Amino acid sequence: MTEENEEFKKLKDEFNEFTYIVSHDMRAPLRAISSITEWIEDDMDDSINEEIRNNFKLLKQKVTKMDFMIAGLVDLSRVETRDLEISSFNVNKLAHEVKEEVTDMFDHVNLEIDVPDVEIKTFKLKLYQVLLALLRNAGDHNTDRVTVHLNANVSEKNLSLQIMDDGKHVDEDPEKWFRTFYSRSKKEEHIGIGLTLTKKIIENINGSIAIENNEPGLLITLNWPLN
Amino acid sequence: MRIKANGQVINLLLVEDDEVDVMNIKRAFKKNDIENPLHVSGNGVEALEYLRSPTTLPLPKIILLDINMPKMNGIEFLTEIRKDEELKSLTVFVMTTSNSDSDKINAYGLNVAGYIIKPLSFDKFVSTVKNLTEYWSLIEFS
Repeated sequence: MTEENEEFKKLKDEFNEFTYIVSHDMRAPLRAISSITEWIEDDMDDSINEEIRNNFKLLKQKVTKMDFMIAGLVDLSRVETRDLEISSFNVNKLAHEVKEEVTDMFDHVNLEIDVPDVEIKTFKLKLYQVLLALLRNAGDHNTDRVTVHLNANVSEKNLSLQIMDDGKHVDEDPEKWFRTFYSRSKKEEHIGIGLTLTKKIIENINGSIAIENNEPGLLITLNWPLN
Repeated sequence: MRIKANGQVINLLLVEDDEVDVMNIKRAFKKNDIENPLHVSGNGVEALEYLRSPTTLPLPKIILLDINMPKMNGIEFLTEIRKDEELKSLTVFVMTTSNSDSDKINAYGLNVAGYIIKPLSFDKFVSTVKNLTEYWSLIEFS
C-alpha cells in the first residue's frame, strides 16, 4: 500500500468510527430523554393540565426531530459505502414500483410514467432511492392536486430523466433545497435531508441534477451515467 | 400473565448496561402484565457468570441482549455461548440501537432469533414488547 492509500484508509476508518458514534452513542441519551419524558407523563397522568400536556407534546416532537436528524446524518455518511450492487433490470418496471410507493403515500399526486421498456445495468437501489425522493418531493412541496410526469431516455452511456409537475413554483434559489437540513416544512419528519441525500448519491456516481421553474410547475433534470 | 414452556414459568435474562433501558424493559413488561422473573446482567461477562453458576436454575429460556456494552459486548457474548455445550441452544433476541449492517450480519451468523432496534418512543416499545410476548407464547421452547 502506498503512503497516500494508507492515509486515505486511515481517514476512512476514522470517518466510519465517527458515524458509529453519531448513530449509536449520541442516540442512546436521546432515547433515554424520550423514554423518561413519557414515563413522567404517564406517572402524572390525571394531574396534568392542558398546558403541561402541550409542553410534553412539544418536547417529544423536538426529540423525534433530533432523532430524524441523526438518522439523516448517518444516511448521508453511508452513501459511498452502501447499496453498491450493480444489477440489470427493466427501468420501466422500476419506475412503476416507485410510482406505486409514491401513490400509496399521497392522495393528491397523480403520476404519469413515460419510461422505455428496456433493461439497464446500474446501481438499482441507488436509482430507486433517488426517484422516490424526487417524486416524493413533488407531493411534499404541493398541497393541491398535482400531476407529475416522469420521462426517461436511455442511451448506451446515459439514462436521462425529466420530472415535470404542474404544481407550485420555487420562490427561492432551488440550490438551497440541496442544503443539509434545509426545510420549509414544519413537520418533524421533514428535516430537509431527502434532496441533500439525493444529490450526494447522484454526485457519487458522477451524475448531475438540476431543479428549475417551468411553465407550469417545476422541472427536474437528471443525468445518470450507465457503464 | 406468566409465559410458560412445558407448563413451567420461564425465566428471562436481560443483558443491558444502560439503566434507563433496563427500566424501560421492566416498565414495558409491567404495562403488558408480564410477570415472568427477569434477571439483569450489566455486560457479557456478568451474563456468562450468571448462566454458568450452578445456582441459576432453571436456565433462562430467553435472553434479551444489547450489543454495545463494556467488558464483553453482545457479539462476543453470543460467540461464547454458541461454543458452550450447555448454553448453545438458548434463544437470544438482540435489542439494540445499532443499525449497523455488520452487527446484524454477525448477530444472525450467531443464530439470534431476532434483531430488534429499540424504538425512540416508550409507547412504541410497549407495543414491541407486546408483540414479542405474544410470539413467545406461540412458540415451543426446547
